Amino acid sequence: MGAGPALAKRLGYAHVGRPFRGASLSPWKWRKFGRAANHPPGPQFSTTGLGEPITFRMQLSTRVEEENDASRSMVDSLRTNDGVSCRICRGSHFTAVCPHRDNLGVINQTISLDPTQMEDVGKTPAGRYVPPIMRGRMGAGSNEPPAYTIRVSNLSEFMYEDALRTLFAKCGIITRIFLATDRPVDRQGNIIRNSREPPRCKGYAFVSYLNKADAERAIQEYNKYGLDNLIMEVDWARSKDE
Amino acid sequence: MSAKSVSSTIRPFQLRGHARPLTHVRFNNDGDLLMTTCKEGTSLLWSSYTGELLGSYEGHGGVVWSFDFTSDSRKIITASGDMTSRLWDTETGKELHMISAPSTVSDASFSVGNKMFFIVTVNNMNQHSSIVIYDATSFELINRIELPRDLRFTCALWADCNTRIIASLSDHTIVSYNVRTGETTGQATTAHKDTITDMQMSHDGTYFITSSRDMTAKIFDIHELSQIRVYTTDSPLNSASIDNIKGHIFLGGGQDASQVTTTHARSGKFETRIYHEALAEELGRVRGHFGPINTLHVSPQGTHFATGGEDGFVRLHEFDQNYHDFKIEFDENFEPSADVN
Repeated sequence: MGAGPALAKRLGYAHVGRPFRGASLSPWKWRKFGRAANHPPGPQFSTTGLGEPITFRMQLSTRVEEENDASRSMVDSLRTNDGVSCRICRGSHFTAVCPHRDNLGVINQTISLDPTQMEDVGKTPAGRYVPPIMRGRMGAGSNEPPAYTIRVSNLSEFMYEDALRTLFAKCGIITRIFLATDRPVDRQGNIIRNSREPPRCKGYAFVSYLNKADAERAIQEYNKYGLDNLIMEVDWARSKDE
Repeated sequence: MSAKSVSSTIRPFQLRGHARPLTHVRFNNDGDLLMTTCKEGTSLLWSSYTGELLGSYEGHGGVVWSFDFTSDSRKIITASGDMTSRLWDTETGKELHMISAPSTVSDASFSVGNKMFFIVTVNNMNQHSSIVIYDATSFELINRIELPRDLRFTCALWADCNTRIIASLSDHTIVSYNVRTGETTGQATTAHKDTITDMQMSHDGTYFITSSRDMTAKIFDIHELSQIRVYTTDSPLNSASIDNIKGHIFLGGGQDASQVTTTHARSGKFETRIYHEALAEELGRVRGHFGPINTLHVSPQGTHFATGGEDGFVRLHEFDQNYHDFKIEFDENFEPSADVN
C-alpha cells in the first residue's frame, strides 16, 4: 500500500482509571499464612516497630550552584539560609562538610574585616574583651537563623520539655524549646541541691519553629487548648525591644 | 538552576522478622506488598502500607539470595543457596513448583508478561555459572547460557521485550545475550572496576542502573550498553534503585561488613544517598542502619522505599509531602555541564 494516512476511526473516549492501591490483590482480605498464620489482623509488636523519626534535607549541593551561577557575587552567596548555617560560607550545611573550607576560609577572613562589621566591634568599650555571644543583641547573635518563636503560658507546674515537644512537633519542625523551671526549694526557700524531684515548671515556655507558617499554625491550634486542667495561652513571643 | 531546600521527616517502620543479613528487598508492581529475604533462608511478605507481616514462605533449606514477583503479584520465584529455585503462590504461601539446579541459585526473575523466567547459577561445586531460561507454565527448558569455569554471573535482567538478557559478570563487565540463541549481542567491557552488586531496570525498560563496590553507580542504555550517567560516592555500593516518579537515584552501601566494628557508625557511611538522576548531584542522605545496606528498592509508585541491612533490619520508609514537593527549577538557557558522565 502507498504511504497514505492510517485508517482509524474515533468511536468515543474511555477513561481508564487506576485503582488507588493494590490493583490485583488486596492483602487486607487475606488470611495470613506461614509464620504469621496465628497473628490477628494489623501490625504486631513482635515484628513491626516504629523507628525514630528521621529528618533529612533535600537540596542541591552548593558546588553545583556555584558552578552554574558563577555570575552571583561571592558575598551574595554568603547569605544565611534557614536551619543549619555554615560558619565559612553561611550555606545551609555544617561547617565540617563545607565544600569551600579550603579556598573560602581565607577569603572569609578578609570579609570579616569589612567596615560594616568593624562598626559592631567599635561599639564595644575600648580595651575590653566582649565575647561574641554578648555582641549585638543580647545573647542572640546576628548569625542565628530566623526563628519564629511563640510564647506558651498558663502551663501546669508538672509540664516537662518532652511533653511540650511532642505536642508542638505536630505543627512543624522545632528548632528550640525553652521551658522556664524553678529549682525545688525547701520550706525556708533554700534551693535543695541533688533533689530527686524534677524541676517544676514556672508556667511558661518558648517554642521556636523553623518556618513561620508552622508557628502560625501552632498558635491557631493550641491557643485556648486545655491541658492538665488549665487553658493554655499561645501567642507570638515579643522580644525585649518591643 | 535553583532548588528550594526542603526538610523531610520520615518515621520508618522497622521490620524485625529476620535474624541475619538481608539479601533482597523488593516491592511488587503495585507497591502494596514488600518481600524481604535473608541469609537465614526465610522469605517474608509485608504490607507496605501498614508494615504488618502477612506471611512467610517456608521450605528453603539455605540462604535465599533473590526473588521476583510476577507483574500481577500472584506468584513469586525465589533463588536459594540450597541449589533450588521455588515457585510460590503469593496469597497462600504454598509451594507450586521446585526447580533443582546443579549449584547455588543466585538470582531468578520473571520475564515481562510472566511467560518465562530465568534462574542464575554460580560456579561452585565444579559447575559452570549459567543463566537457565524456563517456560513459566510448562517448566520446559528454553535455553541455557553458560560461562567459562572461572567466570560467574552476578546479576541479570530481562531487557528489550524479553528478547535479551543483560547480565553482569564477575570480571566487572556487562554483557547482553539473545534469549533464543544465546549469542552475545553487546558488551560493556569497562563498565566497572570492581564487583557489580546490583542491577535494576528503569520503569520504561530503556535503561538500567548498576551499583558496584568501586564506589560508583552507573546508568546504562539497554541497546548499546553505553554509559549514560555516573554517580560517584565515597563508599562501596551494594544496591541502587531508581525513583521513576521524581527522577531520583537511591544508593545504599557502606564499608565491608568485616570492617564494621572497627569504626564509628557515622564513618561507616551506612546512609541511603539520594541523587538527582539527570544532574548526578547528591540531594540528601537518609540515615538509620547500623551496618551496611545490602539491598534497597523504591516502590514503583514512588511512595515508599525499603532498605535491608547487614544488621538484619528492614526499614520501610514512606515519603512525606515535603519530599514530593522538592523541585529543581531550571533556567531557560540551562545546559548540563559536560562532566556528568
